Amino acid sequence: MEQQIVVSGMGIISGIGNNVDETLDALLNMRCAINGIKHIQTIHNLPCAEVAFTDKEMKDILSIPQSETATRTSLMGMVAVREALKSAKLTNWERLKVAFINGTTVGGMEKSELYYFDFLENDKYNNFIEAHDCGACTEKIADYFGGFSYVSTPSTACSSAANAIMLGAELIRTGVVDIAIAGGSECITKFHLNGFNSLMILDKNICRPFDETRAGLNLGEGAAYLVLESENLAKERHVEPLCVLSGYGNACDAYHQTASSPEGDGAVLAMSQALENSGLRPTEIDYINAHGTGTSNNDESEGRAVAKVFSERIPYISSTKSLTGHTTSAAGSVEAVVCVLAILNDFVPGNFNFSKQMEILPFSPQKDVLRNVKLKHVLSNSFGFGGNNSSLVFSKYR
Amino acid sequence: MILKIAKYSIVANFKAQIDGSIVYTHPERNSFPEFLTSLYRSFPIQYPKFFKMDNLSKTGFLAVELCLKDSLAVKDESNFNTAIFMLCSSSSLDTDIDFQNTIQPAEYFPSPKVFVYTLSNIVMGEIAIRHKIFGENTCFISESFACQSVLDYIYQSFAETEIENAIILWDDYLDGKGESVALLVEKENDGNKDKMNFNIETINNIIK
Amino acid sequence: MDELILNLKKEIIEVLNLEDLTPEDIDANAPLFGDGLGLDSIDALELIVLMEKNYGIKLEDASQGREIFKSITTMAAYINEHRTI
Repeated sequence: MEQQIVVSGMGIISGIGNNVDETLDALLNMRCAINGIKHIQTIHNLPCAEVAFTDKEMKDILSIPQSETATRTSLMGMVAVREALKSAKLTNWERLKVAFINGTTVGGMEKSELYYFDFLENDKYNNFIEAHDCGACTEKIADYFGGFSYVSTPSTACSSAANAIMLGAELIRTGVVDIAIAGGSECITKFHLNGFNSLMILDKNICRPFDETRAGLNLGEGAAYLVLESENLAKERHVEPLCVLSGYGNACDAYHQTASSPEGDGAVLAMSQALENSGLRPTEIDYINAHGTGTSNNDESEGRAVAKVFSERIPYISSTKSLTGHTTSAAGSVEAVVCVLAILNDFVPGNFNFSKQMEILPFSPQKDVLRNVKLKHVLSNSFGFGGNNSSLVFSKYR
Repeated sequence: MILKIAKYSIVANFKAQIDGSIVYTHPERNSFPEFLTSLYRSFPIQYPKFFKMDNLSKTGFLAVELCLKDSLAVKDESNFNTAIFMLCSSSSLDTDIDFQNTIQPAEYFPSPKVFVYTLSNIVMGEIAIRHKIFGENTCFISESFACQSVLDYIYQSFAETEIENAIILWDDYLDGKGESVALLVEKENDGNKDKMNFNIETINNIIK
Repeated sequence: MDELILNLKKEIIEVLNLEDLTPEDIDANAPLFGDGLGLDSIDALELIVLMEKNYGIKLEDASQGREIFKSITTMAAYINEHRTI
């Protein structure tokens, strides 16, 4: 009989918390991390959700010398992986094959743009030239821990981390590896802050996902990883699974480079595939953590797709991006951690800053956090530019 | 399960090839972007969106266009069971530099049409839009096309999912130099037994 | 105004990569979006940048574009009234 893939550990750092406990607390108390920008120098006055730590502070926490070349994306990744490994009781794993799969898109760009002119004019920061690549960031994190037999960087923008989780699960199911640490890391850069701004999809205020008056998204940053393994292996290692990764799906919207199709075709396909893959009917899903960026386009497209797939009964649905900001490449795993926390602690995360139902949708998101709600099956959406749509299904263990 | 390369194409070195035969040679070797435009014009397709693409997308797009030319594998209507797997080394770095040049303090006009291409997976998006492909798609950052771990993943997808065929694309463009290889891969059947097997040795031979 | 319209046509052809078109091919009164030249939302944003870069007009709200970019003629009229360079 085919093995269940379980989540045996997790780690996270984002604007709403530096670890899993802080994240849970922030979700239960609806603490919004979206504020002015501190860590990068920009002329823009656009609210973002930054991780509280400076690079310096993260190096101290990780016992890395200040002089060592490390990008913010890598540092956040190391912090989150460390927590994930600890929570899964993975200290050394000589006899096991462990994969590290890290989704990122900006990689070390925040240093490249800071030192861009130095690269041209002097040799002071040349170490950061090689640190720029997405793959280099992944390897930096992997090398800090050592011992990974498979290291990979899927790079599909805002669905990267979700795709990393899918890849991790597939590698376990086929016996390529025994355990996968899968997720993503992304920091805010002037590059994509300006880029998103040029697309006029940033809200000058705190975003309002699924609200009729929504005006765009806020960028966030962070890193998060799930530890995935077969149920048998978790038992062998005496680790109690947090939940089950029941299924997943990835499909292409095939509509536009950055916009989603009005009817959410790609989203419909991805969610349907994830449901089929998990053997669940739509009515069995208790909660959807939406991609819900707060842009006019996404919320309409995703909202329509949800209404279509879940036409019989729309489950609780919320976007947590009005708390964490849109963590882009890390969103799939940041929100996976949110889903696991919701299952473990019996609550529905609230859709902060919502007030007015969208006229074209037959539902409203769950505005306030709802405690004491037992969630058996949860679906999480992450949609990337290029029409790369991914959905993950998590279920309560036992 | 055996996977076969039903057809392959290469766009590199100012030439275009299908299944090992050269189908287009550019008369000059000065400008790769000019070569791409000329190659596009050598097709009968009318696809003005081509001109909006960045060089990475154009390079990949053309390889796939050649590969799927006269092919019934990817239909004219929606293809739900075709996947796209892409590998590239420099990602969107070339276009990233272009975008960076639009956000210099001296000349600050962030360009949305350039920004849209500062992601390597947009190449897959363009291919999906053109050929109506709704299946799974993932872009891997890899030093070279011959990457066993990605091949393993592709095998896995064929074995475990509903996909019938896939476009495997290597696409790279940086600093005026581009190259792309597109493979149309499908499960072995009576019709393709004489075709090359899809494995790392074959890929190495193709890109030699 | 005629000169502005001709210049606009040239600028739009260049900025939006309308490779196979010349100014003579574009009807100044034809719709730019939808069936007209087949421009999309990203092109609209690029036109907003063009207006700021070449004519010093800053548009804060993308939805204003709907009226302004109806055709080259409407665009020229708006630029004529609001240009600062």
